[in-house]
Amino acid sequence: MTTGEPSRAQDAAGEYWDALNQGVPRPVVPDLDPSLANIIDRVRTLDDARSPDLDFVTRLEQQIMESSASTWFDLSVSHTTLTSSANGHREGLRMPLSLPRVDRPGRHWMASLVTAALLLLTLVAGYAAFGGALRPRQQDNMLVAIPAIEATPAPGVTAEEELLVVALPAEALPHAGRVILGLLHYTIPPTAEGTWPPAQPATVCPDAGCPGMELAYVLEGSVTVTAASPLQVVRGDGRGEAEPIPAGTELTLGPGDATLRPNGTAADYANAGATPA
Amino acid sequence: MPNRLQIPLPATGRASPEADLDEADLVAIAKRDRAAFASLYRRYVEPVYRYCDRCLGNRDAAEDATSLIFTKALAALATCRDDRFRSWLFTIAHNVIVDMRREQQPWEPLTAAANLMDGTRQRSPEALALATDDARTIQVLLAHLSADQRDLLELRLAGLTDAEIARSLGRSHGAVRTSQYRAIARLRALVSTSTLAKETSDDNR
Repeated sequence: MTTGEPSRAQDAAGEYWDALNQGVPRPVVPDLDPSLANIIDRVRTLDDARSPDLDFVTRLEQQIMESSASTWFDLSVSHTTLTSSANGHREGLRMPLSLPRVDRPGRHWMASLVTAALLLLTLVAGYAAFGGALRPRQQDNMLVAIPAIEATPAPGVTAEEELLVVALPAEALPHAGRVILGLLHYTIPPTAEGTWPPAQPATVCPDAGCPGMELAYVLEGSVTVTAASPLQVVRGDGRGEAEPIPAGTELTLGPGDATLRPNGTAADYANAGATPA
Repeated sequence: MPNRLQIPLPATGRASPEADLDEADLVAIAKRDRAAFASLYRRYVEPVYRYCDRCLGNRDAAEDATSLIFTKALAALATCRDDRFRSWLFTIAHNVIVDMRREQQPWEPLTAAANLMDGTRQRSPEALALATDDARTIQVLLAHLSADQRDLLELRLAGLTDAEIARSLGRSHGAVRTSQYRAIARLRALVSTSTLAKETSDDNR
């Protein structure tokens, strides 16, 4: 040891303070110099740092949580255009999904645009806001048009690219209540696994697993998905054909692949690759 | 063995489902559902604010720093290891404090304390003791330490263990313990000097 101080004495002082910070009222630490313990106690006693005002704590929480909720889009009546279908055909919901595009060659823009690679777009519903404006009997003849999602422009972002367009059947749409669209980015580290439970964003769908659809789109990397419910997969090969997948089937997704499944069901996601997905 | 990130689903209708979750679970949930970050905020806003107040000695500055710390934490939450949230949060806090100290004029108690140790002023032991009595706060004591030692003890007073401090400051556990030992020994010497001077002063009256 080059410091000149006895290592045990250093450890003892550290252990004593650790124990105090962990709530032990009078720790007994062998080899601790009582005068050092006395100084530690004295320093703690002298700590006169003030607590925050309750108003400040409340205000800051509101500010932080409001900013964090900005990726949830409330598609209540005021944001939704309801029109009758011209030919009576049940057209359902069309969701153009766009992301800002960075002015860089190839598709590497994605890596710098978002650290996340797995993008989950979830359409969920509550039961309050639509009220009589969207009664189930009328819904068969209505087209719900939802504006494209546009991320906040970042430096270097010069254009947008449409990643995927999905037409949802009317039956998949919420039949009443508040309609909410959420756009979430996730990164799955190499070798990591995770279970995606039924969606339960506490601020928007507190009472039950939210009905609706979940669209997952892989930006980069490789992800395996095993869902508890049947799902559809759209491969990123440009054909745009949806392939039905039975429940419990392990599915490997690559960049550009997407899945569509009921929102209120669980799925296991895993990244068996060597790079983040 | 792969990492397993099993995210428990809070049961419906519970008043405070996060109360039963340990911190790593809360962090994992908050990464998916930002609304859950509120639980982490409520858990740490007090120690973070007190840390800022201790370091900056000014309510407005402490509020600004606290706001900045939690905003940065929420924005970077995906980079936090689930089981190391506290040390990660205080890494952010420490960096914010360092930046704000650079921008801030020295606040009064620190200036006063620095004057106590200014050798050019040739203060007598008695004057030192009396002055220390007048302003015997944690800031006065910490002002006698090196910047590294002060950083360390401020995190100690925020409730961190020395292993967490090592992670927060990017130092080894052994280096933290050595520095901490020296800081405590330094304070012991200072208090002994002050006490001796005070006793001498009292005896001469």
